[in-house]
Amino acid sequence: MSSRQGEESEFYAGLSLVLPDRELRVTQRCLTEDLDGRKDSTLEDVSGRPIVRAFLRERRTKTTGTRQVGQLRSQKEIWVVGQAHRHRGGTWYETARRIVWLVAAGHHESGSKDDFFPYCRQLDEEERLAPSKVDYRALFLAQKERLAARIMIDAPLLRKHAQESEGEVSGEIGGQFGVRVAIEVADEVEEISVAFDLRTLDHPRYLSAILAALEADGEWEPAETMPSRQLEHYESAFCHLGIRE
Amino acid sequence: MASTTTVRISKELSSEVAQIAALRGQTSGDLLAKAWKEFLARNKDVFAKDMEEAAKIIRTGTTQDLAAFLSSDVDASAELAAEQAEEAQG
Repeated sequence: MSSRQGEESEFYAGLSLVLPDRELRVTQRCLTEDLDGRKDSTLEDVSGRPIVRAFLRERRTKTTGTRQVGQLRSQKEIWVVGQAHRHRGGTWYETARRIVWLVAAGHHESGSKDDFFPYCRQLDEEERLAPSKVDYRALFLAQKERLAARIMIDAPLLRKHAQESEGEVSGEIGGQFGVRVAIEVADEVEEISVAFDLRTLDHPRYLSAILAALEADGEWEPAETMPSRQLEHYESAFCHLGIRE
Repeated sequence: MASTTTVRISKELSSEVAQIAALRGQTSGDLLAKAWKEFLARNKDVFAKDMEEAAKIIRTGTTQDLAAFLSSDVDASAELAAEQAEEAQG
């Protein structure tokens, strides 16, 4: 994983360039078959290819382009990126995951059997144009690894913030899960209360990971309220009693 | 507190959830929260076991161990995502 100098909010991670508001990612098939990359190559490894440079430049600011690859069996919106006369790439924006995929690359030579546009249609016909299970598996594993790292950093920071504040503090762990934390101290006993916004929850294991990262020793118990208020209808809360060190 | 939610479910299910939520005068996020509450209430033992495992990882494990813990459903999720991508027309 590497950051570009002066742009710490974006970084290469495997087959992705992670931007603040989206990921730019190449499919494994496109990497190995169209860009002559190895199976273990990264997007950064092939970032010098003309069409990858165009992809990273154009999709950094816009998720779509001005021209699509037409007549696809799947009717997908595959947007064309181009570099110089010949280099062409096809990108697909997956709105729900905010990922722009580079799904195909080739050369444009009208009338040639190897022309980029019929090549895209052939891939689409063979159901090899869209990201595959292999792509998503690698994507999800990479995202979980980043999430795990964020949980291990964000949760202790949120706890520290709560210890230094009066009343509840709110935060987003991993940039996505809404969490509110309150810490009350009486004598040496410290009670940590945590309310999760369940509307932002993807997986129940995220709750246990975040609670453990807040405090790994002792027991977390379900709570009916936060110290100073009732729970919102979309919240679930837990509390932990311990000795303040 | 975050006010919006990105829910990664199929378009059909998403549409059904939105319709049911509208009929009840709620948002999809509200329904999702209710479903999670019911899920957690029904699966207390699983949650308690997950808590033990997560705490052990935080005490003695690595970021990779925590990532593996969070990745239990990756294969199924990847298969579903690939199916949705293949069927997507947008």
